[in-house]
Amino acid sequence: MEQPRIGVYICHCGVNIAGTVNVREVVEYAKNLPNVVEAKDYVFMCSAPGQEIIREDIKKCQLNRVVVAACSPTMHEHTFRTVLAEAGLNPYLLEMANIREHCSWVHTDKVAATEKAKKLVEIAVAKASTLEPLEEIEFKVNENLLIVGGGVAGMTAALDSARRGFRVYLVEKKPILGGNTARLGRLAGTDMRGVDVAGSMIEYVKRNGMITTLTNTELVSVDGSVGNFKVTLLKKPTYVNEKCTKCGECVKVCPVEVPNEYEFGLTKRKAIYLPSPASYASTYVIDGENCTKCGECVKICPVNAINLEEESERIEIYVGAVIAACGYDPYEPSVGEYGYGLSNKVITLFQLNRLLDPEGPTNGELKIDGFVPRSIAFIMCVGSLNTTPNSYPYCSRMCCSSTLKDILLLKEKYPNIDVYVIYKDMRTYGRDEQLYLTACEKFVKFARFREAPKVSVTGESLEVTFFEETLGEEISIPVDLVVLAVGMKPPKDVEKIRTILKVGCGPEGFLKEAHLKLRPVEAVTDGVYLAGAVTGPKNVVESITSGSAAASKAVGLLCREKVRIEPTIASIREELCSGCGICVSVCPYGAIIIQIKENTRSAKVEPALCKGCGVCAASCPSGAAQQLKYKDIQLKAQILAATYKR
Amino acid sequence: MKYPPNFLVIKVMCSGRVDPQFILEAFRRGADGVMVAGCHPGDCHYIEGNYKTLRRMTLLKRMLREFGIEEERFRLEWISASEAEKFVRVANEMYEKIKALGPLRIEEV
Amino acid sequence: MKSEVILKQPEVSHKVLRVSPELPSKLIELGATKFYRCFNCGNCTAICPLTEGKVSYPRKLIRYSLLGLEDRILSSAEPWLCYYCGECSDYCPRDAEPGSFMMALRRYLTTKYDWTGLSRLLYFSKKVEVIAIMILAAIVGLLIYFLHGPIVLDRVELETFAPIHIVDTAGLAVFFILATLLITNIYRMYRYVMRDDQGRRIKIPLKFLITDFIKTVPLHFFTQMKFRLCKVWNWINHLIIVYGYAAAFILFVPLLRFTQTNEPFLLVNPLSILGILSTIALIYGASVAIHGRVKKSQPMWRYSHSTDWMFILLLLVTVVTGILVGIFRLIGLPLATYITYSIHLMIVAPFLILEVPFAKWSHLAYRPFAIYFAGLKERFLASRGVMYV
Repeated sequence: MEQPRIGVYICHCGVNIAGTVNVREVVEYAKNLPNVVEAKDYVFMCSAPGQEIIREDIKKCQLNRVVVAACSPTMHEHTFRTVLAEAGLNPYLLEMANIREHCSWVHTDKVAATEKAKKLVEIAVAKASTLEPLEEIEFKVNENLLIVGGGVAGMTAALDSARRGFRVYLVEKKPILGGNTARLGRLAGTDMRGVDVAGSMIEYVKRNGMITTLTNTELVSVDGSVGNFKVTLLKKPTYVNEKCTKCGECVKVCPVEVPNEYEFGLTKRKAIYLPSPASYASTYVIDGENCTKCGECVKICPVNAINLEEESERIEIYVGAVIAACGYDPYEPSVGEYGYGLSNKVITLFQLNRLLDPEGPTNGELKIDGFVPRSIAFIMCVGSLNTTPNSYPYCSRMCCSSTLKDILLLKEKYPNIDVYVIYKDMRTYGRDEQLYLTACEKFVKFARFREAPKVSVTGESLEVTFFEETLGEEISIPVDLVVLAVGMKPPKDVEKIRTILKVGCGPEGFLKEAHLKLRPVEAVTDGVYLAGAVTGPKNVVESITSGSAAASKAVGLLCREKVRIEPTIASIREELCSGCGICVSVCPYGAIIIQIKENTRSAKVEPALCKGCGVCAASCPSGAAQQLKYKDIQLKAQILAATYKR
Repeated sequence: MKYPPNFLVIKVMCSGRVDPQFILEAFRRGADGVMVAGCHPGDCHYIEGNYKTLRRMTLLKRMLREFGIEEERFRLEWISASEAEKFVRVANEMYEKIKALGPLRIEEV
Repeated sequence: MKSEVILKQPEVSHKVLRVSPELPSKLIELGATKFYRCFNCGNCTAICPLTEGKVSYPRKLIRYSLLGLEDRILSSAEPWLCYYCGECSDYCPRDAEPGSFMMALRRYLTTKYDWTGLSRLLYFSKKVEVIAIMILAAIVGLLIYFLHGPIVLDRVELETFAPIHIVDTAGLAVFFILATLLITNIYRMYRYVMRDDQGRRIKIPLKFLITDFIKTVPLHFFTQMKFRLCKVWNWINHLIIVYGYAAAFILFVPLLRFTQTNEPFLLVNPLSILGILSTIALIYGASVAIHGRVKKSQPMWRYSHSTDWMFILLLLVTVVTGILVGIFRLIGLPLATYITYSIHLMIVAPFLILEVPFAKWSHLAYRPFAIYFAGLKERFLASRGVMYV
């Protein structure tokens, strides 16, 4: 390696540094450090004249390393690296010493601060002496986009991206698009039904040639890294082809009956069924999990559209970015929780929503066992706010607004029903506050509980008993119907998705965004974006908005021809490596593999996957694994400089 | 937010990069105390690095005790980027403790 | 939909409370125009100058009403402890008018304490009010027509026209009927209020019943001293009105034989002076009320129920006809005097008969008794250790 010629530049930062640290003394000290050929100071090193000084000196003094002692690297490391590049030096030959946030701003003793600044510069100079030029690694970006999840968030993201000219693969595990929204009736704050919102999006998706929709398809694996993912999908068979005329004869003969998930379990369907809402599906489908393959439907089908031998298909696609829009599952109360499952008079909010929908199982009539209930108790916060042992600690955000919206709908139709809303907290936020005021005007009675109410089912009637917080008394209300306002929980296959995409989960099980405020639609893993309720409870509008946001970020990546990664990654010297495999086991990203070349085992780093943490370097027993720019010798040089007593 | 100027900083990308030999080297070269600061467990920017740190440093602390180096001289702290007050508090505490112990005469250890 | 009141065994702490879903709409008809807007912040209770310790309202009463817990409303003495300063309405962030809610509760309780059902009819139907007044006026008119004494036309002989023994007898009869009705209603109030949370009767030893009565009821009846903690000027105005009535009562009931005479009406006479003062007090009171209700200058005058206007109207006609009787006597117009006197009686009778046991005037009894009952209850109710807000 060439002899280091280091230039040291000390910034005053106005009075931020110079007010406490005697910069001139530090400059003099620096001049006497090993390998330093030039040391200067300036008022604002990051300014144009300051940068010019460095640029000039690199040429004039033939510097091959630069140390800048100034503010935190997070502020100006990039600025100074650019200066080096412009002057013809590799940008990674720069080392910065933080003498502002780590020194002048946090110490009051000027003499001691100056001494510390000197030592910090000494440490930086020692590191600089060991720096080597590093090249950023470039990859070409694949322009396709994969969206996992065909709900409103996923479809919004698909439409936004396709309209910008990118090819989108929209993968949905159910036989139809639309997700949870397609099962909803009237939405809060608008006249539209969830079915209609999802329906209109599905129309646009079908018509857009840039979107390839794969329904009944699941994600199997995702390999590769940002800009270059290889995705394996499994398309499960529906056993029914396009010849189907939707005549419905097959349903009559099918022997298997299961709860209909599209009506939230209110009705039953057969193993061969038309996925509701009927308008979206182009054919009947067979639910592979419940079908007994008895063959009755095949016999009866007049157009021979059914083939029970149809097999799953493995599909491989290559994409540059992935958006996870897997949605949520409604919280399902366990049997006995608030009387759920013990009586057909205890239903969930989603079921009520279906009952009130004119296209629902009762055509919009609220009838239980044929009778319209005279009084209804809504129990809120079911499954949320830690109300019961199974509950989640968070608030599910949308239930208060949805409940009040459903109550107002039913009061329009049945003004004399006596309605009680028993809540732990009432959070009709934003414009939905109007729903609360209107509900008060219609004499909806609100009561607050502290501990979960008890619902007792005695024969035909129900009684809800709870301790009313605002009165300090226990009261009991006899009602004809209990509606549980259930919250949202993470989808049941979230663990699988998480592992495949290598993203993290938050404490409640939803996928975790990179930063709640600064990067809300990106996952920590580069190239993976998150949209919709999979990151936490959201209502329809919020999900759609986040779908657009994720599309915007994803497309931002796909627009770049190339993607570069910082070169401070791991590097393994094969001649020192014994192939023990410790580094492979500690790498959080799976970026190291063992390769066998000419009968020897050694570890190899996959640069695209390495994020530069250095854990492998610290674990390696032989020192073969090192982290570029943070090698053992480099850090030891710093330690030596720190403890050296001049 | 002030703390004593006796702390010199060496930057690594993750506390998981810190090899126990660096700490031993620091004491050998004359440092009176060493602190390793990283993200809180569960919050590691590189997912799991700090768990490795925890394991290594637990073992290291036992070794240091065997060597006769007082346990207050080495600290492993979980401090997030937004916890300036914690850093200041820890720094002040460590300074006081080590001042009370006096310099580490490594030759005698 | 109603459920039965089930009294649980004492060991079980929870109670089944009867739920009356119609309660809120009834209260709205009675003047609680916006109370459903309440979102339970408690500002009203915090600002009320009369709430302290365990006595707290109106928030809790609003909650009871909205949830339809009629039993709790009936067993509360609190509505009568409120004097409608209106601070709560001024400070309510939801503009839910808790002050007028409390007034509506008082109207409601008045209809409930009365066992005849007439009170309820009067409060919920303007037609019934008007018809009742007309019927009673007609009855009195007929009685006067058939029972009046000789009409002397050359000078004013009021006593001849209206023989004292007849008027006295009628007056006593009315007095007894009213007193009986009022006392029975007060007994019903007692039965409602003196119950614990479980609905069981609170037994008060006779000794305390008597001593507490002596200590509280006459004092509050004559001074309304709690009112001064509410709004001092309102208290003073009210005292003026009360003593106006008291003076009128004394002059025309026990002292009737000295005021309803055939003697010429002398202005410089202690009784006449008392009469004039009483008249001024009542005219003052009525004017303040009318002015306030028209201008809606204070929270308590922002909503006027039909029973409020009925009261003022009857009062005004009574006082005006009374003044006119005096004037006609003074200047010596016999026929005018007798006619005006008859009209006066035809108005005074319904005024007293409807208002005292069945409508607004019942507060002269319910308020002092409420203070008495509330005091007893606090002392004898086993403490549950629950802090009420």
